[in-house]
Amino acid sequence: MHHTLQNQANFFRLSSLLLGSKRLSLIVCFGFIFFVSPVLASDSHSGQDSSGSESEFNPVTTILHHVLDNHDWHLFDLPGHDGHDHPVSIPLPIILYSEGQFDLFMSSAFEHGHAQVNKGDRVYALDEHGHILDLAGHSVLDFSITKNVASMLVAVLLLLLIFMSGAKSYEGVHGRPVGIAKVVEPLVLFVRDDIAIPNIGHNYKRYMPYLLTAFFFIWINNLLGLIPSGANFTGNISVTATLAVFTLLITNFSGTKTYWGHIFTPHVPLWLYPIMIPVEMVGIVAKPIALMIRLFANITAGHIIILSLVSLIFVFKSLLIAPVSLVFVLFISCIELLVAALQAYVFTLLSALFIGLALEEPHLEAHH
Amino acid sequence: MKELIQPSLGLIVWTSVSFLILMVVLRKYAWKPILDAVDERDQKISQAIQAAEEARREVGSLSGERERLLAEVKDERDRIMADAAKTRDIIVSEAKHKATDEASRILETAREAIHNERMAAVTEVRNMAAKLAIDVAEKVLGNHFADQAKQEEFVRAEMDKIKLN
Repeated sequence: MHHTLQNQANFFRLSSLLLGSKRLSLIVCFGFIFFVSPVLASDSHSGQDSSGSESEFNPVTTILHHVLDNHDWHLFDLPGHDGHDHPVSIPLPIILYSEGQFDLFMSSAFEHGHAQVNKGDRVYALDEHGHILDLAGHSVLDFSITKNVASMLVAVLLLLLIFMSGAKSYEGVHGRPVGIAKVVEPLVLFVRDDIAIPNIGHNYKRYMPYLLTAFFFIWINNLLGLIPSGANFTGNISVTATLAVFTLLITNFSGTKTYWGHIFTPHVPLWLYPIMIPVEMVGIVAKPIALMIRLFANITAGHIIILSLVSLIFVFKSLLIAPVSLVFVLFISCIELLVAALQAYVFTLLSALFIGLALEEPHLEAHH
Repeated sequence: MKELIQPSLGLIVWTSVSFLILMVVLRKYAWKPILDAVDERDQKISQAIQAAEEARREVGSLSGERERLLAEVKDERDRIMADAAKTRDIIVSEAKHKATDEASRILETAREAIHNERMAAVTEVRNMAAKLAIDVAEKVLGNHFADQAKQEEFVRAEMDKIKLN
């Protein structure tokens, strides 16, 4: 546990260094004071398996449980007749691919990790991290509708609902926005006029669908993540990596001759080429990696802060701390509301910027 | 803690597929209609502004035209007035000339007529005086000049002595 905490500390120090964000560093420090120190204190004398411990509240496990993906949508725990708490959650579909076959069942079949599921010669069970294993030793590909996927599908439905009804309201009113379009239009125009056009220029139209979809997809998912017991979809590295790969592909597929020229024939003496070309090629990958880490770290950090503040009540085992926690949670939640929009904006803005750089025309080069 | 940065295949696949489908659907049913409607409206607005600008410019040019016409008319009037004045002057001076000429011509004719009349009168008076003188002389000298030819020569000699003027 000490080891993992050390990793966590290093990771966040590293990420705040990478991002150069004062806000994030502040949040990390804040989180450390309130969250890590009591954990270190309690951890030193408990030393037992955190999942089995009822008496000792372990914020790290609780927080990680909330921040990571799950196979069911955990809502709350109810105390049972046997004196143990029983989790209450929404079961989600499990889709597994193993040995050339798909297996489909509901996550409730695992009974929160207490049961195994037999499908033919395949025996599925959950490991201590909530991953699905085949006890028979086959390799398993997990395409389940996890909590994150379910949350994303809700977001997709919301997006379709909002924007398709928004677009529909333009019909037959001579282009005057009515109803929800009054809200949608300024946001769409914000993406067009403040993100796409300044960074991409006259070719912006081709990239509008991606930029608009990315902006609203990230924003809505950020907001859904702020709902208590919501998923941490945009704070998941797989998600931010996927989105970053989209930007990487779009950027490089729209790269002009000038863009590739900068990478493979930079304007430096020939003997510098062995240094410059690898540096430029690292630059291709570094940009989307920065996008990936920024979104992931900002959203996850926000979730961790809020959960840590709530955990204080249980760490101190006192209701008196609750008002203090509540005030801080409220305060951070307000900041997170802002961050939800801000990170969607930053991701879209930087994507547009990278695309704009890739579209660079030769005449710009003459100036420098 | 490693869990935080461990990618999961299922989530990547679901995210990619959902995002791509969402992008395609929204492009067709949301972004395109919204952006087209906004573009169309922007175009209409800029057209309306342009039309208004043009109309204003036209009104401005119309008032300019009126101004120009007014000035033209004023010029024309002034020109006509000046012409009229000139014509009047010419007519008046011509009339004066004519009148003067006529007057002097009449005067000349009158003078000539007077001269002629006087000459005729003088001749007649002279003739009459001559006749009278002859008659008187005839009567006076009836006896003295029995010879007719002597008498007439004498009279003529006497007549030439008489200067009427």
